[in-house]
Amino acid sequence: MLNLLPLAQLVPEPQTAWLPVVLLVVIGLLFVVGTLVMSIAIGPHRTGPGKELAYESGMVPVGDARQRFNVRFYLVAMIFLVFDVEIVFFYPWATIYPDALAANSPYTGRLLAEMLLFAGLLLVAYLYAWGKGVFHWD
Amino acid sequence: MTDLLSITIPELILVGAACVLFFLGCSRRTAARGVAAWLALGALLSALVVSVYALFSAVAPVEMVSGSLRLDNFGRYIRVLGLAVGVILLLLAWPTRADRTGNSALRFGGDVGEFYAMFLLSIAGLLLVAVADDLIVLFMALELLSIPTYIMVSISRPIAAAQEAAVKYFFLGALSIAVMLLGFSYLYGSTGQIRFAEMSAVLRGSMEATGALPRWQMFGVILVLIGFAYKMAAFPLHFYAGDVYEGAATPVTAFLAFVPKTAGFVALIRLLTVVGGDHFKLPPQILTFLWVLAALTMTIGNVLALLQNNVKRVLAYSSVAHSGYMLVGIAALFPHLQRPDPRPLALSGVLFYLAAYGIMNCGVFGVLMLLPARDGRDDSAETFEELAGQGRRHLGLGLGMAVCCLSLIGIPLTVGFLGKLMLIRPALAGGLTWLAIILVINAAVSATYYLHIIGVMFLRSEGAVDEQGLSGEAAMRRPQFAVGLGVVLSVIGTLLFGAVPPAAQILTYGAELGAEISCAQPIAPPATGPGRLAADSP
Repeated sequence: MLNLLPLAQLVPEPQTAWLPVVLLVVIGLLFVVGTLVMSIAIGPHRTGPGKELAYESGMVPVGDARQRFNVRFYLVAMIFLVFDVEIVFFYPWATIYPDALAANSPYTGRLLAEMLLFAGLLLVAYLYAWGKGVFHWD
Repeated sequence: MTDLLSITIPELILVGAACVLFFLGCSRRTAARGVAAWLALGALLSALVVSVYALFSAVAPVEMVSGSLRLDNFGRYIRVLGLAVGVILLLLAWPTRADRTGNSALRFGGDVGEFYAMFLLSIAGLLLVAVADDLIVLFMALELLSIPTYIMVSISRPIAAAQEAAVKYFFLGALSIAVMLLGFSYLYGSTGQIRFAEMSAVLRGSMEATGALPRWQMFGVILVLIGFAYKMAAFPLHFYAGDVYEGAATPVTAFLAFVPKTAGFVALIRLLTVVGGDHFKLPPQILTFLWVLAALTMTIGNVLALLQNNVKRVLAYSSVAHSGYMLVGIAALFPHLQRPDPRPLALSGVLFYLAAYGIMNCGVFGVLMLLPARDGRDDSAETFEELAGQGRRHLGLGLGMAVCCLSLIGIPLTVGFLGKLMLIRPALAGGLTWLAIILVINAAVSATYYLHIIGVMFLRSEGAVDEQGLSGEAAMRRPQFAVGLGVVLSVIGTLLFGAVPPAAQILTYGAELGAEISCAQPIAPPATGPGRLAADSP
């Protein structure tokens, strides 16, 4: 087994700061090449019409993948982004805010106001989509 | 040091109004569409009042506590400029149709609330570019400026050319932003700093130590410059100008020719302050690069403009050429005096020219909007054939076009002449004689197509109007008071700031104030970890 502990101790040095990234790339490449080579080398080689179908979670595939989607799917994806971005920014804020409260910082009021403003702006996007009738599905 | 709210009052007004406009956009009533335009105008005017007050009252730069926004006189001037020209641009985009779905050149249909919301957001982006004090805020501001313009181009009129223009503008814009971001990543990677103050300290430190920028920092600066060139419509990335300006509705074209261009120059000047410090002690390679960029941009813009038949395409390529003229001023931005000047002449020249270009540009596009299409399109004039003889038929519009075109050439008694003068003077003082000569030759070349526009309007006889053409003519008789007011304001501005000394002095004084740009002093690195907020408390 490879002992990674000495490498981890090197990390704070500036010239070796990129070592974890290089390791990640190398391991990623080894994994991909390794699995491909292994499956060719030791896997069974059986073929036939059923084996050559596209894999569809065990179902028999129906029709072509290139078909038209209802544009509403894209709209729903956009609305999802509204909430997604909200969570992404709520999370770091939520880690800071209790500290600020605990430390009795003078900035707590402003922190709360900033997050309310941010949530309010995202709410505008949501209400706009609602007003435009994105949620009518008939 | 002050907080976020007091620095960003104009932006907050614009963004707040844009939020309300989105709600108005959900309504289908004609009254709501009428209210939308007035709300946008009110927001622009109130933000303008706040900004004018700030420009002439405050002197010291103010910074945000956490240091990502910084408002110096440069930023204050750009605010006043962006909002003032924004008011004229809004007048050109006023919904004068009876059902408030657009005007003679603009047909956004029911999307009026969205259109004005995008308009305000884009201008808010321009204002934020001027106060951004770190790479992230600068990037966000440029995106806030750009994304609404793509949407404005696509909803400005329901024809395929507008959609095509929007798609081209969007994809090429994304490409340029990617180049710019790659440059940002090199700047961050090689300096380890996001804030301009600290980054500037690192860059200048390596300049002083070795006399040149290290290779990767130089690479980053050049990439960012090229990314900004797209916004300025300058040489390496100017190809989109013709198609996009032609496809967009005329008021949106006027918007594209001013707002992104100004943002590009603002961001460029800010970047040069970061690289060279307050007195623009730039490495010679960057000055050579800017020299070449300026010469090529002017020449290519003018040569391409000579070849066009569509007036909007002519104006698109002439807008490229005007970017080249302003780049001459940027190339002259280095200390050529023994004692560094706190208000660099070249910078005030560029700022003056931005204002001059904004004003005369609005005039030209406004006149185009008020002239009818002659082939039955429900639109305004775009080709030389449609302009033929219109100057004699509508004398006022013809004279307005003549004044603005002469100003774009740089004929004395117009603001364009003063602008060119203020660009050439520092270029000569700084020893850029050849660049000044290229500028003057280009101004002479540009006279060809500007005089062609005037000549076609007054000297050529009006072409035959087909039966359908008359319907366009009838559509033109709708009262378009707001658009007319926009044209009158631009023509008056062109003459007033060019021929009346007190007015010209006010604008020059504003530009000189605006040239007071400075980079923040680096602050001590803040304490990190959860104890930081506690450490800030008294």
